[in-house]
Amino acid sequence: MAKYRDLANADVNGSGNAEALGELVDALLPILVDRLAVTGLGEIEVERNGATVRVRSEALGVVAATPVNRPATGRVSAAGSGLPKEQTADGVRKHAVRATAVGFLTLAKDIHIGAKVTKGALVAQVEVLGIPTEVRASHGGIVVTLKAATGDPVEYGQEIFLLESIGEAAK
Amino acid sequence: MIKRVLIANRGEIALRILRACKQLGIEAVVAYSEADADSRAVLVADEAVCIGPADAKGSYLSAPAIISAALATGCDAIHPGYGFLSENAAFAEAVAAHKLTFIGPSAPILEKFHSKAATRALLAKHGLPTIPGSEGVVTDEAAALNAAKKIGYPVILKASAGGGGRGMRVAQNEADLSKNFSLCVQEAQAAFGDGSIYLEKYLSATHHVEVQIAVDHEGTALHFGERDCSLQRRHQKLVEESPSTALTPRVREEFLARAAKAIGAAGYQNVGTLEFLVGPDGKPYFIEINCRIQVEHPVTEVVTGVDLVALQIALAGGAKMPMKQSEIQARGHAIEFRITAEDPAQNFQPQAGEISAYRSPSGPWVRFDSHLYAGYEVPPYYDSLLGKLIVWGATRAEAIARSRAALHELEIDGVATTRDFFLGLLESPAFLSGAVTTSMLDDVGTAAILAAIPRRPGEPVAPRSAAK
Repeated sequence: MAKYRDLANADVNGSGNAEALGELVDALLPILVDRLAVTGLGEIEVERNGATVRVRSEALGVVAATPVNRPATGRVSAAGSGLPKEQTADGVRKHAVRATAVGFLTLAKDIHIGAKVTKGALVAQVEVLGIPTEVRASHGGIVVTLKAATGDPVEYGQEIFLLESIGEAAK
Repeated sequence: MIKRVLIANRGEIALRILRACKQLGIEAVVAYSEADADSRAVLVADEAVCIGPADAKGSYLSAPAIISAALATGCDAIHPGYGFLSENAAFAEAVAAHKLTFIGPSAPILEKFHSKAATRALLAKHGLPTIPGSEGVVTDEAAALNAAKKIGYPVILKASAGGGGRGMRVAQNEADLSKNFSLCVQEAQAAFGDGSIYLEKYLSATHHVEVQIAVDHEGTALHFGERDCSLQRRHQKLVEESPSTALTPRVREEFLARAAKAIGAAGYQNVGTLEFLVGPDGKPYFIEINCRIQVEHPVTEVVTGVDLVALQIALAGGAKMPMKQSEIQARGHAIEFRITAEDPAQNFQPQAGEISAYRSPSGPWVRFDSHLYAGYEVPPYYDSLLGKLIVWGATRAEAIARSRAALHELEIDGVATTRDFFLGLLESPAFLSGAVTTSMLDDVGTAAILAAIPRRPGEPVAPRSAAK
């Protein structure tokens, strides 16, 4: 059975103060560790109030996951000027589904938190001057975090949602 | 009135446009490729938007990506900078079709001035002297030989759709021309998708002198003096200065006034540059127009005090010409050095890599337009321009002395650059005399210039190496 990394190994990143982060970690960690055991997932990440907690299961062999992409800056301006740069974890997001073009986003109907996505499925479209550009899932998995909604302007490479893989990542 | 500009370019010009927008109180959004996420323009911008991958075809050369980005970020105008899509009529038309303002000449004007041969004929009609050449495009070798006979050898073969020094060949005699004609057509076809070739007389020992002009939508045309861009390597400009050492005051005044009048009458709009060759006889011959803001525009800004990028934005927004010709007075002498990531010791081979240390020159009369910072990674995908050093002096000699000091102050480590080459150039008697012709580098030789690089006390004799 998998051994779970302890508190010291949880990645905590965020713009909030140390106290808030501490509370967040205290509240979330036991739940996350439990969830890792039950689901057999290799890695779980949760975002609250701009902070991110990530827990990885070492024995499942995903600790050495390689960075695949730099994070998008998340500064498409319709989100409003003057906002701080979006806080992302450390750029290592193995299962982020990203915009394939700059334009306006339409999510596929069946994309919501908890939805199961198969690799290669059409999950969204980015409309570039009226012409839709397909976004397909690079991995199969469960949608855990939505980072953009239908109608949003998105930039090239921007994270649309995060997936947790069930099969491939855990082998 | 333009309120919010998408800057669809990179490097120092993205930063230059961004600064102009900020100073004008216009909002700006920097469009960037994945390779430029850490570029200085993106870091300095209030807003930035990633438009595509490193390959320019999917980003800086992608009209749909750029226009979509402008719409997604709520911009009402697009500044194309130079290069990329800056003179592309189809792009300008698509921008206008989406109710956005293209900061440059409109699509019909870009179309009108696209062909070099047609532009020469048009401006000749409006009073600009042109180099004797073929009447338009020569379609086959026989026509080329016939045209060359009338013009007189040597002749130069040029691609009608060419630019940046590409697609040109010199023929000294008939045999040369026969040998080069089909090659030149093939090259032009391959490089520009258009095999049209024209011929003109090749002037040896020429100065390349260009006139900065601006025209508003009512046809009011002004000139902002000239720039001498004679110091070139393989038709690429290395150093630009103003005023030109090739023009006498009497020739200059008449020449500049005539250029402004002709371009206004020909129906041009926005800022642009008329390029001339000045032969050994001291007479300027019109060769081509550049329908964009140019790399070397700061030379003119420094001697005239006019912000050309701000003027360009204003004119694109429909403003009337905000000044009179009599208010534009060039003062003193300015020189610009293009600092590129190229290794002069290795045939100017382009370099890429991390800038490990960086110190920019500063002080009075020194301007350094650059997107560099320590730790910046020079990507391998784009042109190698790192920055432009522009130095002003009351006289050419004073500008040169200040340039030496500024070049010494400039430090860029991590990639080989052309800095030391320019220090050597500033020791060259040919350059110091002002006899800077387009063939000067070939005549003097790069090796002689590199050998003339002055050593600083304690500096090793070997050229400074890029590797640390």
